[in-house]
Amino acid sequence: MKNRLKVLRAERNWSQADLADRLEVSRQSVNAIETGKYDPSLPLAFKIARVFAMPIEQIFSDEVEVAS
Amino acid sequence: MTCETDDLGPKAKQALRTYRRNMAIAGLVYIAVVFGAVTLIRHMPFSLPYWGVILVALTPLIPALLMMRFYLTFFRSLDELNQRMHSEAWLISAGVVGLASFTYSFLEEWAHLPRIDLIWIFPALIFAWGVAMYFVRRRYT
Repeated sequence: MKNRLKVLRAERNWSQADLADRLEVSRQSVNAIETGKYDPSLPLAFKIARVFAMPIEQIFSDEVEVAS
Repeated sequence: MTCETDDLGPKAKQALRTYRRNMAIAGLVYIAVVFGAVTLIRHMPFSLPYWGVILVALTPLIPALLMMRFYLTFFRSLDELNQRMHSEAWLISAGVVGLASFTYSFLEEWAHLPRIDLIWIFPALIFAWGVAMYFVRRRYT
């Protein structure tokens, strides 16, 4: 699953730790999601959408991302 | 059975502090109970009846069960990625130690290798979990 988390976070000048605090998860989780090493659960994906105030499909897309 | 504080979410950081404190207390109780049980069974002038020995031998299970409860509470406080990593590490640990003990019992029986007490299974599980956790964590970071 591909996502725009890193771009959206950068647009808001949030660090990974800032986003992690907002999502109530570890910074490691944010990093793993951004790098495509971990796909969040549906509840977490909805929470991410709420934090960015965007529809979920504008953040996540059903494309395979090659982990960097 | 914890992870680095930096890797935890805010909820889990508080839970980690509580977990460490509770585990330290339960660990001390466990040591005291084991010493007490050994003293009662081996070093007392009177001998306990058989059922009494069984009861005393089971007493270390009480603090051990408490430790398990504390770990579960801590596990539930982790975020979903950390829960997944803990679970994967436990799965690998159970598989490795289970297969190793299964295989070694054949070697004990047929190749007459030295007997190993069952008491080593649990420490082996925890050790294997720690090693597995290192590799599982690398997979996600």
